[in-house]
Amino acid sequence: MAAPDHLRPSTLPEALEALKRPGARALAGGQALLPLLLDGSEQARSLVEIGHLAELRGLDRDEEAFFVGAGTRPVDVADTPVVWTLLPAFAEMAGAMGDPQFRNRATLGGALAENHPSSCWLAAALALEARIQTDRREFLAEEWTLGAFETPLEPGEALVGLRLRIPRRAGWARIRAGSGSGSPFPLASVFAVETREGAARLGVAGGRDGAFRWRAGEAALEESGFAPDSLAGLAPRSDGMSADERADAAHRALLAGRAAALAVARALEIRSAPGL
Amino acid sequence: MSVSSTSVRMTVNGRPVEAEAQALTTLAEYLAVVLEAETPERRRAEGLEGPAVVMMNGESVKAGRVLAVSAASAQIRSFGGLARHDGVLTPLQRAFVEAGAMLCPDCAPSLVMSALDLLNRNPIPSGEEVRDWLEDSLCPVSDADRAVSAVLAAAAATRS
Ligand SMILES: Cc1cc2nc3c(=O)[nH]c(=O)nc-3n(C[C@H](O)[C@H](O)[C@H](O)COP(=O)(O)OP(=O)(O)OC[C@H]3O[C@@H](n4cnc5c(N)ncnc54)[C@H](O)[C@@H]3O)c2cc1C
Ligand code: FES
Repeated sequence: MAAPDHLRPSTLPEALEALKRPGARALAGGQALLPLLLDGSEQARSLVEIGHLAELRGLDRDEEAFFVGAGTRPVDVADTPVVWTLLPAFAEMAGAMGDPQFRNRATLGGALAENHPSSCWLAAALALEARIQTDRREFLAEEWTLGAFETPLEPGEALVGLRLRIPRRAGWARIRAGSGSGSPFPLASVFAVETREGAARLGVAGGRDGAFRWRAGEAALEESGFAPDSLAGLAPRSDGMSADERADAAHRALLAGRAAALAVARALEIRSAPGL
Repeated sequence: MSVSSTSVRMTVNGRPVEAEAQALTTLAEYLAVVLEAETPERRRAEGLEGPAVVMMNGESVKAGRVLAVSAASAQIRSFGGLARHDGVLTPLQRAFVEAGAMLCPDCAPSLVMSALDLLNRNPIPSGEEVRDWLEDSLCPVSDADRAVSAVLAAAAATRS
């Protein structure tokens, strides 16, 4: 396999043009893709660098929502004061994931395009009523995962960003494996939201087919109140959970239930301030 | 098989450098060439073994997880480039030595570089903030308590 070409377009339209080349792959932070290219398990004829593009770097808001560009890194989210004010759970998640060097390179777009079933980002997007925008289409977060590592992205299509609705309150919690577990992903990660209309939403990572909304948990929170106790003894169905050498599906389901209660508790502790 | 390589320039430890890189040449491989770190000893001295954390435009990255071509035009500082040319250590390096936290020649330099990134963002971190920051970079050989106390000592030394 010949070494790929490397292209560094300076605008998004140029990048989209370059991504039309056969065998072209977008390279954002490279934290997922680079190890695979280096060990030969993935190939590319052309690498199209996109992480630096200004069009993908925005973090803007209006009355209703945050727009987070696909090139936004965890460190950008965690170091932006207005995110701490309006969506502290999202900032908390971004500031806690991986290690500092990962947070300085990885991007939101890379995570969504990869669609690892244990990704925290899609769980957050599901809870925050996200709309996922590409250069040509828009998806509801619920439409994003087509299975582990599968998304509706077509060859040459680029993620542009996410629109996240600002909630009444939100909390995030994860349960990590001990160090040296061999995977950077937490065993469970749940983003819990109470929308401004008072609806409950739970985005749960670790599903067999990617992150999902735990509807039974949401119903329990709406019936018995937005409080951790409302989820006592509940867990997502284990047949929908992923399994690996670190945790089987039943154990993952149990941990997801616990993380959901922790996320709700956290939402009650840290209040978003939607006083726009 | 076509092996296309391009000439990549950047600034490494204050010095403009230029060397050939292929698309998949990592920044760590590139730095080993321009810093003439051919042996493991030299690579350790530069901090290019283990996680190989270097500063890229003022932010810490793992040099094996960034392509050299992606770092074109960047400002890079390696662990070996921290000390002054006369060998005087920075307060952070000194604090790591004094705390006995330079335990592993492979990963301790990366801990120092990561801590440097923390102190650039947050010059007065709490012990808990330091621990959270370094948590994922600590391997079984390192000693979290020593590393944390080194960073806190360096922060205090810089303030006084
Ligand atoms: C050390 C480490 C710790 C981690 N910790 C966590 C964690 O705690 N929680 C968690 O959820 N995840 C975690 N992850 C996973 C991580 O979130 C993703 O791997 C990362 O965000 C990928 O982003 P990237 O920019 O590096 O993607 P890249 O590696 O650059 O790209 C990944 C894939 O996405 C494609 N792509 C990138 N950008 C776009 C775009 N805009 N449009 C279309 N396609 C695109 C690429 O072509 C490639 O196929 C961790 C990963 C590592 C390596
Ligand atoms: S890599 Fe040697 S002990 Fe950390």
